Amino acid sequence: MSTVCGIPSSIFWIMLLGGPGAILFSLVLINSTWWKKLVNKYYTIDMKD
Amino acid sequence: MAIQWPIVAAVACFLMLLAGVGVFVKKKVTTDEDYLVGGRSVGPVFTAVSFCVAYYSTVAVIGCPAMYYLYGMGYASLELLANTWIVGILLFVVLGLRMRVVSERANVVSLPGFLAVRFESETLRLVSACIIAIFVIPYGVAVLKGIGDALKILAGIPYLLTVVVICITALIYMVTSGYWGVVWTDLIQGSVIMAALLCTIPLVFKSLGGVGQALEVAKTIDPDLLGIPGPLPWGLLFSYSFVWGLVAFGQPQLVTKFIALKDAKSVGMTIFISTVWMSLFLIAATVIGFGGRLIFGDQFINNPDLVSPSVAKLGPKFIVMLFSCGVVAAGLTSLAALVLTSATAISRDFYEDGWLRRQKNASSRKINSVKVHRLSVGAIIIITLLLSIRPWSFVWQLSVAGAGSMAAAFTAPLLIGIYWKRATKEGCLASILGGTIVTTLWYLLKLEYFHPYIPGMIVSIVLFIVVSLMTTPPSEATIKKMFPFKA
Repeated sequence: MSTVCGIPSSIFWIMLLGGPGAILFSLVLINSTWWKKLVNKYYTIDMKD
Repeated sequence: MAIQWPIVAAVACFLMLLAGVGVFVKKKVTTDEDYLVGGRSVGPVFTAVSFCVAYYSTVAVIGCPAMYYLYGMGYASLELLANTWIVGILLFVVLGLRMRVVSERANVVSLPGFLAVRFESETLRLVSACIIAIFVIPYGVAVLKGIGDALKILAGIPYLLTVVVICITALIYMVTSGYWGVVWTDLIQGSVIMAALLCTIPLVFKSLGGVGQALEVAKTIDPDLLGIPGPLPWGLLFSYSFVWGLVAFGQPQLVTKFIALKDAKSVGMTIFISTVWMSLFLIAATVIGFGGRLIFGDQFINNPDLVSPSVAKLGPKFIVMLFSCGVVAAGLTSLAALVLTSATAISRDFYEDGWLRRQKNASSRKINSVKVHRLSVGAIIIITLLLSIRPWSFVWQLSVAGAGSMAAAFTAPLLIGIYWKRATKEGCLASILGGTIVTTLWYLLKLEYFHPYIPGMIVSIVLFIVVSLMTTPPSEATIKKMFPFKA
């Protein structure tokens, strides 16, 4: 069984993706142009109301 | 077990602090909307923590480490992956953002209200409010029982005393300041939960002689606990780890958090904070649960709920006190969210929008809906307390089915209703009833093969689409109001 830092590699990579990976992705997402455009669209509708 | 007075004193001080904060926050409540949804002006920090603590109850603080103790690292890693990506990110992107905008546009403060306006149907309002009332109260009973049992183990406090004091505390801050009281106390409680779990982690490594030693010990245990799927068959592994994430899409108490959010621009920061909070929570629970297996071996195999309290007890008294407060906080936050949701269903959906509107002299009969809401909160807490003193087996079964059945009832109506213009009220009603009945029966008949949510969801989605295509589409006015978005 291959390991990374003593943890089986499959579990290590899933945990990395689930913890730090998700945090990093959320940061990239909320700073992306796509997200900013989407939020602005909704925000404009909100303000119109 | 003799009563541990220092722990009792710590929990008592903590509860007094929460009640005091609830009373202090009362000045923020000036309108009905302030009381029910924080005036739709709750910031991202409050919303994220409140969302997370409503999602993870005592069941999770005690139950997650217990599951990782039994099923090992493979299960723990998949649950982390499912929770952060599905609940922390996808749920907010797909449902949170749109719900925030549409709920204000339609002037609704609850899930039944949203369905009533979206599908122009008072029947849907009443049916969904009934389902919430039926399942939320037993779910609250389970949460309350979780706190009572945990404090009995941790501090020897009699079960009855715990549940009564917890209910009185919830009553004080919920009746005085409603949603604002809930989010402020949630922030304090969320911090205590996190501190309790993070402070327990070093105890695991200290007990095993350091990180390196812990990994050495891990090699000597059942290799299944370090693999995927581990001791669980593949079907159950995915059912347990992913379904728990998916059920979040249909929980009315979580939908309220989106409705109360300040504005669309706050959603991004809420996603980030929620993801961080969930990651820390689940990684800490993994260390405690799996570490507990390395420390205690198979000692708790028949009662794995004892793992996290036992790990906490390895540390100084201070850690046990903090952990006890964390357990109380985890339960109390979920209880508050559930009570608030079902009180809104009664005061706004049953009373104000359901009954009062049908009266001929409605304006003269109208009394302050906050008063009705306060009375509902009191009544629900008292009913939950009475049922939790000695839960009947039927109430217990409903509580087990609660989250799954509500998710099967409301996920399709929320997602399809918010994205598909052609969705009709008949389709929505068929979907709610079909999903609820199939999932609840699956639970009650203890059928195996899949998690009960899965067949319920399939029936719910199929019924929604088929019945909607066979019935008259909604009016243009409703489509215009509920779909202001241009591609």
